[in-house]
Amino acid sequence: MPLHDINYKHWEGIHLGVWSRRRAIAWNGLTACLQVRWMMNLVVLCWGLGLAAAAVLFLVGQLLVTDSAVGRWISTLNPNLVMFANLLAGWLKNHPEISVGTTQNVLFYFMGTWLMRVSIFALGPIIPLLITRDLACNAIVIYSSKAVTRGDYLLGKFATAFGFLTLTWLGPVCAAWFLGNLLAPDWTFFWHARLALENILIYGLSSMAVLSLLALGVSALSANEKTTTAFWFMWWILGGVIAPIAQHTRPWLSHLGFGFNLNQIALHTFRVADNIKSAADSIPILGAMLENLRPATRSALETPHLAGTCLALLVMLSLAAWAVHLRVKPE
Amino acid sequence: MNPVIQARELSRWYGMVMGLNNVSFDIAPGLTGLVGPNGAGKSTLIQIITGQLQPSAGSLTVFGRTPWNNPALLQRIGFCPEHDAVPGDLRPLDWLGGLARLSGLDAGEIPGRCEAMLDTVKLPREHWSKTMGQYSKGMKQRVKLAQGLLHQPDLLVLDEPMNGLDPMGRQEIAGLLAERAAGGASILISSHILAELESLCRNILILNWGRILASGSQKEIRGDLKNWSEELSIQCDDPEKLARHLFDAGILLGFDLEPAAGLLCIRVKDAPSFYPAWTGLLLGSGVTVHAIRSQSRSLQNIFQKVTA
Amino acid sequence: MSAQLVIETQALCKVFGNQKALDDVSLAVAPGAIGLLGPNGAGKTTFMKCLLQLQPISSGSAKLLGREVGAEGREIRKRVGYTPELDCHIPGMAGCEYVTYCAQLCGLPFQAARQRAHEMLDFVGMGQERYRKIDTYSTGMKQRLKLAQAIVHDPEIVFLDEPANGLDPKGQRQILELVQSLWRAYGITVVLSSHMLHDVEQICEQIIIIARGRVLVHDSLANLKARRRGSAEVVVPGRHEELEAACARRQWPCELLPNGHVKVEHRSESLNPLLNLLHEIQLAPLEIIPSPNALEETFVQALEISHAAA
Repeated sequence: MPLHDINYKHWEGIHLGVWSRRRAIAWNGLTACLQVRWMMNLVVLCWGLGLAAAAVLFLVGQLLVTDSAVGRWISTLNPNLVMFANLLAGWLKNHPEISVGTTQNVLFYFMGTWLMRVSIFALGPIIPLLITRDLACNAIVIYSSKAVTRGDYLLGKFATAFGFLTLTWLGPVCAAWFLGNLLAPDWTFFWHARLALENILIYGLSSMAVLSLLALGVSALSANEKTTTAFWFMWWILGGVIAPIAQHTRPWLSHLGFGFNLNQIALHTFRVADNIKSAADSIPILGAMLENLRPATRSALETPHLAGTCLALLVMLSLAAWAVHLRVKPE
Repeated sequence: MNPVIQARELSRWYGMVMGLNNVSFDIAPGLTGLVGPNGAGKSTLIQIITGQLQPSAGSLTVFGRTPWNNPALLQRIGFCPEHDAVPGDLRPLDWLGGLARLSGLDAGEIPGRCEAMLDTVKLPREHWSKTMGQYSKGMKQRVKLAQGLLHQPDLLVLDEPMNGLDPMGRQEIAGLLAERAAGGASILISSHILAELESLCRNILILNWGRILASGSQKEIRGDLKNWSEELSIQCDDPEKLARHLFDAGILLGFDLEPAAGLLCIRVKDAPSFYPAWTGLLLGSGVTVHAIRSQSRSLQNIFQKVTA
Repeated sequence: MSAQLVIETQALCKVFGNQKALDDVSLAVAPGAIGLLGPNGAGKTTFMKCLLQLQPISSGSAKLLGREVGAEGREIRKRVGYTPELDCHIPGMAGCEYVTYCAQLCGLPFQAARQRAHEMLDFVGMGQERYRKIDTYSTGMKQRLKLAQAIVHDPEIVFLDEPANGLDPKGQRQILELVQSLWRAYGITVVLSSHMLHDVEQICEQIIIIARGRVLVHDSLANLKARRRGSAEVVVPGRHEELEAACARRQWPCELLPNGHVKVEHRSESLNPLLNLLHEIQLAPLEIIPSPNALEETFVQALEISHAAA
C-alpha cells in the first residue's frame, strides 16, 4: 500500500496490571528526584562514604593479620606499637565474634546513623516532588481520571521516597558491608559479620519506611514547595536541638523530633553499649581504654527502652496519614 | 464624526521584543472589536490606551489627549481587565465604594451608585455579603464590569469581558453593552470569540505581530479584500438539480456537492451581477431551499483571510 | 460500534451539605457527540465529576460504558479520557514524557505508551515543542497537550471541559476540528461541556441541558432545530424597511436585530415562500439562516421554565 495511514489509530494491545502503574508512578517520581540540582552529587557522596567505610573495614581486617602491609606501616611510625599491635592481633584472631562481629556492628552503627542524617538532609528538597507539586499544579485531577486509585498513587509516591532512600542509604551501607567483607583476609568474615548485616537491614528498612511515610505527610501539608521543605528542615533541626537539652529536664520532649526517635531505634537494634561492654569484659586493656570514655558518650550509647519511641512514631505517622487523607482528594 | 482613539505611527518595544510596530488607525465612536492571535500586541495596545504604558515612538490620543499621566482623561475611561484582579478579602460594595471615592464621585451618592451598578451587571443580591475570594469566575467578571462602568466612562475598554460567563450571562452583558453604546459611550472589546464580536460590533480592528492588518467596519473590510470570491452554501432537497440549474445559468466559478447532507457549496466570481438574479435562479430551479449561508462573510473568514 | 448506552444514571443525587447539586438525574445516553450545557453552578460540572468519580455519589446509581461507576473505578477509567478546564500538567516534564506517563497510568506498557504518545502528539498537531518542558508552552499548546493525554490510551468516551478556552480564533478552530473528528471519523464518544453554544452546535448532535441540578433537556440537535423551524434570520445589503413592510403585508412577524439582520417568522417548512417574497420586492438575500440561535433559545426557554417551576 503506497499511502500509509498516519491518522488516529485505535489500540488493540494488552493492558498491564495495576502494579506496573504503581511502578510507573514510583519510577517517574524517582527520576524527577534525581533531576533536582545537586541531588546526583549527593547520591554520589553517599556511595563515596560507603566506599570509605569499606576501606576502613579493609584496614581493620588487615590489622588482624600478622605481618600485614599495614602492620609494617605502623612499625615505621612507632616501633613500640608493633608489640602491642601483634599482641592485640593475636588475641583478636582467637575471638572473631568480637574482632569481626562487634567491630563491624559498632562501625555500621556510626556509619548508618551518620548516613541517615545525610539522607534526611537529602530528603528536604525531594519533599515537594512527592505530593506538594501535584497539589499546586492540580495534577491530582489527572491521576484521578486515569486508571489508578488514590491508594495506587500513594503507594507509588511511597515507593519513590523509599527508593530514593535506598539510593542514599541502604545501597551504600550494604555495599560497604559486602565490599568490606569481600576485601577481608578470610571468607569467614562474611559469617562473623552477619549480625551487622541483620542490624543494618532491621534498622534501615524500618527507618526508611518511617521516613518515607513522614515525608509523604509533610509533603501533603501545603501546596507551597518552600513551605513543606522548610517544615521538614525546621522539624528535623528543632528536634535535634531540643533532644539533648530535654534529656535533662523533660525527657519526653526529646521524642518530638523524628531524628531522636530514629536514633533510639538504631541504638536498640545495634546494641552498641552491650557490644562495647562485652568487648571490655573480654579484653582488659580495651576495658581500661573504654573506661576513659566520657560518661555522656557512654550514656548516649545506652540501649534504650523503646516504648516512648514507638508511641511517638505512631503519633507522628498517624498525623502524617491524616494530613495525606485530608489533602489528597480526587478533585 | 471625530474618532475616539487616534494612533499615529505608534510603536512600543520591550528591548528587542516588539509589542507594536508603527501602527496608525482611528477608532470611531460606538462598539469596536479588537481581534488578533495571541501575541499580536492587543494587551500592549490596551495598556497604552488605558494609560498604563507609554509609547516608545509615535502617539496615541483618546478624545484628543494622551492617556499617560493624565488623571483627568482617565476619569473618562473605564477598564475591565482579563485577569481575576479582584481583591479576595473585600466585599464587592466595599471595593466599588473605595474605587468610586478614588474616581472623585460625590460621597453621598456612592452607596446608591454601587448598588445600582451591581444590579445592572446582575450580580445576585444574596452574594453581596460574601468576600470576593469566594466568588466563581463569572461573578468576579460581573464585579469587574461593574467597576469599569461605575464612573460612567465615555470610553469603556474590555479585555475578554465574557470570560467565565454562561450563555445567559453572555446575553445579559451583550445587551448591557449595546445599551451603553446606544447611550453614547464608546466601547472597545478585545476578544477571541469572533461569533460574539460579529453580532455586537460594527467596527473591527485586526492586529497581528504588532501591526494593524485591517480597521473599519466589517463591510468595508470585506469589500477591500482582493480576489474575494463569494462562497455560498445552500442546503436543499436536491443539490444536484440546483447545481445543474446554476451551471446552465453560467454563474458558477466552481462548486462542491455533499448529497448526504443536502449541501451545495458554490463559488461565484462577480457578486454585483450575480445577486440581482439570485432569487429568480433559486426559485426557477424548482428545489426546496432550507438554508443559504455565506462561507466568506463571517468574521471568522475575514480574520482567516487577513491573517493568512 | 455497539449500540450500548455510554451513560446511564438512575435517580442520581449529589448533596453538598444542605445544598442539592444534583437532584434525581436519570439519563440514558447513546454514543455520539454530546453537548452538555447549563448555567454556572447548575450541576453540570458536578455531574461530570460524579461520572468520573472525582466526587462520590450521594444516592442513586450511575453507569459509564455499562459499568457501575462506584464499583469498577479503575476498569472504567481505562476507557475514559478527561480534559479538565484548568491546567493540570506536571511541571518539569517534557510534553512527550508527560503524555507517555499518562498512557502508562492507564496500563499501557512503556514501549507502546511512548509510541502512542508521539502518535497522539502528531494527531493534535504538535511538532518539535513536544521535547520542551510543558512550563514553557503557550495556551494553545497546553490545550493540545491536554487533548493528547486524554486520548492516548484509546478511550471509548472523552469528557472535554471547555477545550477551546483561552485560545485565539485559529486555535479554537483547530481544536474544535480535532474534537469533531473524534466522533465523526474515529467513533469515540465526545461529551463537550462548554458555554460556547456556537461551538456546541457545530460539533454535537445530542444536547443535554442541566440547570438547578436537574436535566431540563435531553434531545438531538436536529429535533431542537426542527421545533424552531419557521423562523429565519435574513441578511440583506440594505432596504430593511421594504423587507419589514413586505413581511407585515403577509402578516409575518419580523424584527430588526442589533447586528443589522432581520428576523422573520415565516412559519413554513422551507424557505421558498420567503424567497418568493424577496423576489417580489427585488431584494437579494446575502444569507438566510434557518432557526438561528435555536440552541440559545432552547437554553433560555428551558431556564425560564425551570425558574418558573422553582
